[in-house]
Amino acid sequence: MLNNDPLWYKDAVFYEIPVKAFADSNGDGIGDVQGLIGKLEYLKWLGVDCLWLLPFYPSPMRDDGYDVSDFYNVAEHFGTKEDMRKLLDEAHSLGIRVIVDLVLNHTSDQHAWFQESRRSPESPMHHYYVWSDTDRKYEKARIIFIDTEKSNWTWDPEAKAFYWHRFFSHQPDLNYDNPAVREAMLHVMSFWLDQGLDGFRCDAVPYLLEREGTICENLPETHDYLKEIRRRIDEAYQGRILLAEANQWPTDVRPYFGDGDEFHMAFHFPLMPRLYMGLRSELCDPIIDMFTHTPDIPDNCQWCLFLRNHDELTLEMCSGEERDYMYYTYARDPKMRRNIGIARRLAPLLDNDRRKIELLNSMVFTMPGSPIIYYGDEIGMGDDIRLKDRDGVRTPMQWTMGQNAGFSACDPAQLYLPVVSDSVYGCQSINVKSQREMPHSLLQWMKRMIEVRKRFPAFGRGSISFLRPTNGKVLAYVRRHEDTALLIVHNLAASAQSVELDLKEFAGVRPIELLGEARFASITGSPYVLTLAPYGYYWLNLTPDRSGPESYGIEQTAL
Amino acid sequence: MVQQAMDDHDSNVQFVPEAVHERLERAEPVDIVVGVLTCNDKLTAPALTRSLMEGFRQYSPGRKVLLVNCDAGSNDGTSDLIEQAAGDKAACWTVHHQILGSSLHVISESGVPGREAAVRLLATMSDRLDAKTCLVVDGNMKSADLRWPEWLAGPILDKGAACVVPRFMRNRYEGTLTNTLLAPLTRALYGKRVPYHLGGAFALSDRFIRSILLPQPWDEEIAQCGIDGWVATLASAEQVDVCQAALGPRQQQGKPTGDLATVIAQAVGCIFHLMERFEDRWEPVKGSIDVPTVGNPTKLGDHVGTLHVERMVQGFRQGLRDLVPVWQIVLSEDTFQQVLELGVEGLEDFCFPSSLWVQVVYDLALAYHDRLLHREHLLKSLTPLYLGYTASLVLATRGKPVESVEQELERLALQYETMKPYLIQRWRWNHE
Repeated sequence: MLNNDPLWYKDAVFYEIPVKAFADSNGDGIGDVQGLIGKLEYLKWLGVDCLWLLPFYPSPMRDDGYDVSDFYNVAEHFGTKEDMRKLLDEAHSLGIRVIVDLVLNHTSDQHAWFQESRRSPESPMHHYYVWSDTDRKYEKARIIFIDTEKSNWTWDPEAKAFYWHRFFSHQPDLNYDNPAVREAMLHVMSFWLDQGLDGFRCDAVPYLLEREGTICENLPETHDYLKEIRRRIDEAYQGRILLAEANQWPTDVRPYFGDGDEFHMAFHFPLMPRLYMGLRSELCDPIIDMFTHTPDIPDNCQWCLFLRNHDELTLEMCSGEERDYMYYTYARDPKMRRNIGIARRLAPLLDNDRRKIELLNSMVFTMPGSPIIYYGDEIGMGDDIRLKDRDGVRTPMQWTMGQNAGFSACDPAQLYLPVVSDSVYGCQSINVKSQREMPHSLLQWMKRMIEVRKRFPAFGRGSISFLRPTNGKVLAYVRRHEDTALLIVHNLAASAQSVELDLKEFAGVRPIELLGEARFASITGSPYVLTLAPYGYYWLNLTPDRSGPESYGIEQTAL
Repeated sequence: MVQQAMDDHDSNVQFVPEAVHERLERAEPVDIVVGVLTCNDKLTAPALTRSLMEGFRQYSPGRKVLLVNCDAGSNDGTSDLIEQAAGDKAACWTVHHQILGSSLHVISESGVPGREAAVRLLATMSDRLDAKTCLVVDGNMKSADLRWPEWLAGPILDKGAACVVPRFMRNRYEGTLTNTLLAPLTRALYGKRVPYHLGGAFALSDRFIRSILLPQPWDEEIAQCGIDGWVATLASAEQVDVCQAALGPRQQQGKPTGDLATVIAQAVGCIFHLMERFEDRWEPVKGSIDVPTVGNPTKLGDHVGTLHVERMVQGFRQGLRDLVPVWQIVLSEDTFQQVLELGVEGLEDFCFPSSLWVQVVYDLALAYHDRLLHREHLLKSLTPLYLGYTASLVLATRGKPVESVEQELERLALQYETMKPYLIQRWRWNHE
């Protein structure tokens, strides 16, 4: 059963799933909702609290479903609305929540609204989209998909006008200056919340409105509408959440939390590249600097932290120099680059080095926020950089070493994308079944970390204070919540490191390592010395033990 | 057989230190060897010695007693003090036994390292001196009284018993590992209701020493299992008469123990190890019988020490978090599922059924036999399950009279006997 804490999302571990990539139940080569239902037991076993499903709506699939042609249905190849309701029921019965992508900013050009809109300026739906006689308006707005788009305006011969789009030209932006559009999208949300969904990951929210002379991002009017959405949630759908996709600096994202009356959660985009930067440069500064520039958020809000997702590892929030560094260190082959970022999965980015994979996951699991695991990263899946766009990181989930990696019973030629087949990351080497059977696999390690994280609300709700040891290769911080204090130490270096930490305020405490329950030497007034293996890490509980010695009372007399 | 016996005899002779060997060559036979095992026990060993010597003078004044202080290298003058305490009238030898590196890790009830070598040395000396019985007493015992010599040696000298094992007075939740596993499992296996109280004191007859104890392999296995458990199990498994001596409370000076997992691995490992050797012996045994008792038999005491039941349940749950992959290997599917289901119960509702506990123990014995896992890991994985069952026992009985604990333990012992076919069937399958 679901826990009824309204702040459940602050402690939750999220898991991102493109339905098409997870499990195919009917053998057509495309993952579907029934297939996902069949894998809920696995997700429960792993310890996942909430699934984030990528768009499953009917779509011409020119942008992987983010080009929605009908908000009220499920794409035929994914299943039916009945399947979705069954998924929600079964997930809830296992204590797992489900949020889905809601593409607020735009629709597909195949959506009935757009077809009607382009038909005539007199059409009642004409103003559902942003039309113009000229393509010289809003010129300060940047072009996001620079690889494919030359302008944010595209001429529509049928309407004989330009239409506005911040993403692909086949994705016309909705016109949120039109009250009918605002109400229509609220209606869409209510429809799915009534089916039992637990919230939405709202796609591309900074771009909802346009104003001349601005970059058309993060406008006050956009926030007004988002607050309207939140009011609807609070009034009628308590416990459901809104998660913002706003690829912006933390200071620019901060307004999306409002006063705790807008989004419940937002992704922390700029942190992700800095984790990779810190690891490669063996310096903790990029990571600490990012937190220094992260403003406080309201108590009922939460950051979402991630290492990878279905898009490229975005470098939009990096300076030119940082971007060059990231390309140089993580994507020397141009085939690895997409738009302003790197389209690779976690394991290949980290040279499949288990130590680095654990280290970065350890950071994401212990920093302020709720972690999101991208499907397949829990087993260290690889990618296929030969595939177009970002398809390389969207290949079928590898369940077994059998045909099609156990993803589908179809002819391999029918698969929506080929299974990764190289010798390092192919399903013979990387699959769920083997890793579930191996006690020390990456998958088992992830499960263990999730379990430990759940035992300590401080990870999701606590404050963070960075220690500044002289050894800059060691990242150390204390998470505090109520009576609990946890010390987290990471060695970003490829060599063993020793570090002296100022823990005077915890003098007398005997740290307990959370993963093995081992007791460390007591803290005194002197600097506390720790040694860490290359890419090693510790999660240490510094909470004073007020219950006396950890005895059961039977040790001395057991025999 | 004759050649084997000669080989055993030769290896035991070689084992005896040269100085002791020379002394034995010149020594006259004795009736009784009293071995006192010590390691820096100056606070207790002298009084213990006086008690034992006086006890023998009262119980059996005509018999010739040799006191042997088997010392593990005391540097507090223990041996000198023992010799002084023995006085001029009693023969008293001090000997030093070998201490193998492997035995340093063994949990010793008496804190004497190399305890198995000490017992072997005493048994060899007893055999060479034609003693009718050999007592082994821990030098750190504070509760020995003048009746101990009679209670320990009497059944052997006067009634022909082969082995006398101790039965101490325990409080209601003392000896939980003994009472919930070691004793009832041994009882179900071999049909003798021995208390399986390890250490303190025991006595062996000359026949037991010659035909059973000295021919043991005396390899590292004995050291790792602990000689007390080894002797108690042999006494149960072999077709010999065993007697239990009710020695009153067991009070010891500074009893050293290891962590709980190590204690469990050692004590349970001993029984599991010998199950393999004695499989033909225990398979046909059905039911169990009491063994004769001398001394002052008492019921469980009512004192409850400081028990942290919640912590025990947490320990069990910690096992559910950490050891599921191990338990999945060593437990049967049915047992494993039942154990998993216990994880969802709250503290007050926590109930680890005795039948499930017995099933767990039998599954682990089978897994040990089948070498499904490194044996030490396997044995240590029992710890959280033991905590769970013990917590459940305490929760079920803590508000009730002490008799209810005894009844519960007796029900458990019968459960072991009733469910023995479960063990036998699976043990046999593995042979086929």
